[in-house]
Amino acid sequence: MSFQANDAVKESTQQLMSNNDQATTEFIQLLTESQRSLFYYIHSLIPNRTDADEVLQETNLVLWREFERFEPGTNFRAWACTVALNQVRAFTSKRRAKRPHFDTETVMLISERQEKRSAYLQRRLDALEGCVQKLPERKRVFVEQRYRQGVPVENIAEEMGSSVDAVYKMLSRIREALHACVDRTLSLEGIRSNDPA
Amino acid sequence: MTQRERFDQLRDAFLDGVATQAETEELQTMLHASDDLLDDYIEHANQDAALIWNGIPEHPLPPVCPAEPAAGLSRLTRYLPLIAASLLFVAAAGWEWMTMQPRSVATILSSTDCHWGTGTLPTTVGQELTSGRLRLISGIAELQFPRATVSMEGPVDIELISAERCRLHSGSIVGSVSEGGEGFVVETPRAEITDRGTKFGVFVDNVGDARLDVMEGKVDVKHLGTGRQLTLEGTSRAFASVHALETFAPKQKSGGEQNGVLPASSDKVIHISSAYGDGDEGDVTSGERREGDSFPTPDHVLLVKRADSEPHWNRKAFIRFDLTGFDISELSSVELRLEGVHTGMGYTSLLPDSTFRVHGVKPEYNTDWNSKTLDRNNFPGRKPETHQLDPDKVELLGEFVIPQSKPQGQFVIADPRLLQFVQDNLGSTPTLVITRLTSVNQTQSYVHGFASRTHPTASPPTLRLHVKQTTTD
Repeated sequence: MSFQANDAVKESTQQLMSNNDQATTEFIQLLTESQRSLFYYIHSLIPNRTDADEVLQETNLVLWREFERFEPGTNFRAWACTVALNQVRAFTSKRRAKRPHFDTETVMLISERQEKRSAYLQRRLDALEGCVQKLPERKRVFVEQRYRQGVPVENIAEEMGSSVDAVYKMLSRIREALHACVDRTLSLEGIRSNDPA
Repeated sequence: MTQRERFDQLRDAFLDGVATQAETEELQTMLHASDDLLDDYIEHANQDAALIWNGIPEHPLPPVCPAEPAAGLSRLTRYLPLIAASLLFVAAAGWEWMTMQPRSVATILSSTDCHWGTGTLPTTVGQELTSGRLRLISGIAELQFPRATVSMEGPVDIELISAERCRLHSGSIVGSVSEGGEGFVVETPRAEITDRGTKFGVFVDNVGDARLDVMEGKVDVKHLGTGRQLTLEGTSRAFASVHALETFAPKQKSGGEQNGVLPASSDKVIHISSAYGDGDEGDVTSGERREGDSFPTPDHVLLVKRADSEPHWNRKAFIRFDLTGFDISELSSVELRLEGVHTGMGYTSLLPDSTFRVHGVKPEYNTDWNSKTLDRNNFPGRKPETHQLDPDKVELLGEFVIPQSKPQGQFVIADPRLLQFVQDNLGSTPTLVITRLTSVNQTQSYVHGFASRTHPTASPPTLRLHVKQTTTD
């Protein structure tokens, strides 16, 4: 992170401190709590970490700008997801030529389905952490590098002395192993995918 | 390729950001056509997002060539005071990190037959190492800290933190502290070990439990879960599990997972993998058919299966070790180490915990096989006119169990029969055969796999020989 960004953070913090009424505090709390689920939601529509991050920030900006219109006690997440969906649609129409994205119809399809199954999906995410811990150490490190640190596949392949294709295959296998592990975990808990949300 | 396989391929390509426009459109069509595929996509996309967001906080790593170093975050901070406070901390920490000059904390003193995994540090002998992570898949390497020497026996996953501190994530190390080196710390997931001037061994298993063997001198050990502290002196042991720190050794298992054994201080340890010398390996399917493109077998894996309802899919693995050229007269113990890897073939849920057998081909029946000629009609120990092992031509050397829930990871077989067999075959190239005893009358039951010597990340089949020093030096 650059010095400039560091200064920007300080400046923003001062703004935060000078605007500290109760509504703001509550709004900040709601927005903070929703960051993770908003990112997941956006990522399912634009599965690229940089693009999803950018849309999340644009969504945050809109939410922050419009927060006086939010009524405390109403469903913040639903409102935030609607804003995020609009931002995704704007982003994909703007960027379509740069990187393949889903069309609007598909984005709407995924969004609606995801909302319907949000409780089940949350159960899956709860189980995922345990499944990651069950991965062999090497695979956990691989997941750490590829997903959280965003190390390019090419760099990982070079470090491993392997081909890029082999790394993509490993990614697919890990993805599938985790998915299957979550399935088994939920099955043991008696949770089925078609249970009502 | 089935429609489902095609979908998986498109889904993963899209999630990995490498799908073409045409592939994206094909994926869209599938999502619109099937709720099951739509649900599958959403589940996988959510899973990826969670992995990106969460990472693995329990296993922090120094950054390795970050591709997109939070480019968007700086934009966020311009507009949104919300996360400003936390980002201030991150920024300060990041600046602090960037301005720090990397300092050498240790040097690689020596390495023998080392196969290094993906780490964050160079692995050349004599190389000065900064803080970071080392993964030794097989072989032995020594690290020289300013006042301590650490010997690692692969597989080991270790993180160098400073000149006085390291963290052992898994595997075995032996530490020796020279005069003035008191205070050297080895962190493990369950306990922190502080050297008070001694020689000691630490073994951390796959779940993070740690065993400490003090060979001489004094060691302090603090349990991270309970805060309990102990001081061990002389020849003593402690075991740290998630719940407790105990001063007695855990019950020894005769075989199976997480059964690493530290060598006695007087023993010399030699690792011999199937990649060494004239070693070789391969697997044999009992039936005539082999999988084709529509059902590919994984690369770099030795496959083992038994299903009495489908005997044509029974598989066994053959491993040859080159024991020639070693000046060894007497062994004190021998371990066979195999690393289970995911095969993606069949379902583990259709199998109970599975027992495996290790056989040795009797020297008089050991043939001059190689991985290219090995097939169901040509393997050592074959019963004439069948595709099975002949009980008269092989001897049982041990058994081990792979839990249903965990077919991956290190499996260590230590058995007196294995010791005797290896002892008897010193100076030759014996063949071991791995078979599965457990069978189920289910199709699609799991095919177990063990990493072969060509596997890019996992350890190859390896014999660990503890040689009695009195007869060798």
